[in-house]
Amino acid sequence: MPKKGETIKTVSFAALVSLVAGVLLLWAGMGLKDRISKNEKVKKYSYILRALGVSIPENCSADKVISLYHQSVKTEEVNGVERYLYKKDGAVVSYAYPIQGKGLWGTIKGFLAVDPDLCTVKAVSFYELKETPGLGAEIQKSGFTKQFKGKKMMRPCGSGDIILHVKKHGTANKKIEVDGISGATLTSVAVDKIIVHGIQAVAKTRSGHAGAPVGGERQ
Amino acid sequence: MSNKHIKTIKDGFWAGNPIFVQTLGICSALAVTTKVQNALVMGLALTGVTGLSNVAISLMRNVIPHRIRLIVEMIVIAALVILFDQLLKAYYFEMSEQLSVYVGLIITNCIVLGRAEAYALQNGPFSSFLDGIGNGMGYAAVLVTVAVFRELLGSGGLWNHRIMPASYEPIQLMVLAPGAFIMLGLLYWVFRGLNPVKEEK
Repeated sequence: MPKKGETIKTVSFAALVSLVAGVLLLWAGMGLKDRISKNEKVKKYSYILRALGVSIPENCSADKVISLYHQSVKTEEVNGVERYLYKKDGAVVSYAYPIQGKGLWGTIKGFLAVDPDLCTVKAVSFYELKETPGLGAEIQKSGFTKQFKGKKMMRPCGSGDIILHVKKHGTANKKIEVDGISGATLTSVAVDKIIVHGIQAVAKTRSGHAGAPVGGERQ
Repeated sequence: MSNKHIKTIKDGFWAGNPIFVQTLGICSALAVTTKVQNALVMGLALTGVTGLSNVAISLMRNVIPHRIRLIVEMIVIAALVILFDQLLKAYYFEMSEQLSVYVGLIITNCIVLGRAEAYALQNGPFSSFLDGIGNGMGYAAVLVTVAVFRELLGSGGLWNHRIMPASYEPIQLMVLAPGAFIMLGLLYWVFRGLNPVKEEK
C-alpha cells in the first residue's frame, strides 16, 4: 500500500492537471465557437446555393455567401416537409430538400435539388459525413454527384415507383441509375437509402403542389 | 544548435524512425495515405502535437506521480489534439473537412504516447521538443512517401491533379486497404535494407 501522503499527492496532481487542461479547452472552445459555427453555416449555405443552381462567384467571402443566401433562397414547409426554393423573376427555378441518413461511420447529411416538375433531379450534394476519406467520402466529389443530374426519380412521373437508385459499383444501368463508389459498397448502399427517402419526401410535397404536372395516379 | 541536438532530430527521423524502426503509428499510416495532401497535413499535425506534448511532459517529469503518469500523459495529449482540431475548424475549415476524423485520432497514435514515455520523462524540455519534432517528421516523411505512390498509381495524379496520361487506368487496389499494406511493406523492406536495425534477441 502506498503511504497516505503519497495518495493525496497523486490525487491532487491528477485533479490539477485535469483542471488546467479543462480550463484551457473551455477557453479555446469559447473563443473559437463563433468562428466555427459561422464556418459551418457558410458551408451549409453554399451547399444549398449550389444545389439550387445559384452560382457563387469565385473567392466569395463568407459574408457575401450569407447575404447571397438571404437574397436568393426561401424556405417553406409543405405537408410537413421542409424545403428550400429559389425563385427567379417570380417563377420557381428549383427546390432543394434536406436529406439525411445513417452512413458507415456516422450520419450523412445533404441536399436533393429537383426541377419544378418535382420529377427530375437537378443536383445531389452531401455536406456532412464521417465516411472513410478516399473511399466512402468520395460521394462528396463531383465525379459521383454529377451522375444524379438530369435523372428521373420515378416512372411514370409522380407515381410511387422509384427508379433512381445507387447501385454497387459496376452494376448500374447508367442511363437511369447511379454507379456506386468502388470499395465503398456500404456507403453506396446507405446513400441509396438516403436518396430513396429523399424522393419519398419530394413525393409528399406533390399533393400540395400547384401547377406541377401529375403523372400516374398510383400513390 | 549543438551536434547533440541535431543528432536527437536525426535519430527520430532516420535511425529510430517511428514507423520502420519502432513500428508505431502503422494504423494511420495505412489509413490517411490515399492522398498526398492528407498525408502531409496529418504528418504536420502529429509533429506539432508530439513536439508540444513532449515539452509539457518533460516540464512535469519530476513531479508526475509514477503510478498515474500514463493518465497524465493522455490528458496532455488529448487536450492538445482537441485544441488543434478546434483551431483547424476555426481557421482552416476546408482542411479540417478533408481530414475528418483522423485529426481526433492523433490522440490514439502510439508515437505521441511512445515518445512521452520513452524520451520526455527522462530528458529536458528542449531536447524533448526536438525529439518530438524529429519523430514527427520521420512519420510525416513515411506517410507522404506512401501517399505519393498510392495517389499516383491509385488515382493517377498527385495533390489532387491528374498527371498520368489519360490512357492510364488507375489501379483501384492502391486506394484500398490492401494497397496500403503492400506499399508500406515494400517501403519497409527498402528502409531496412538501407538502414539495417539490430533486432534484440
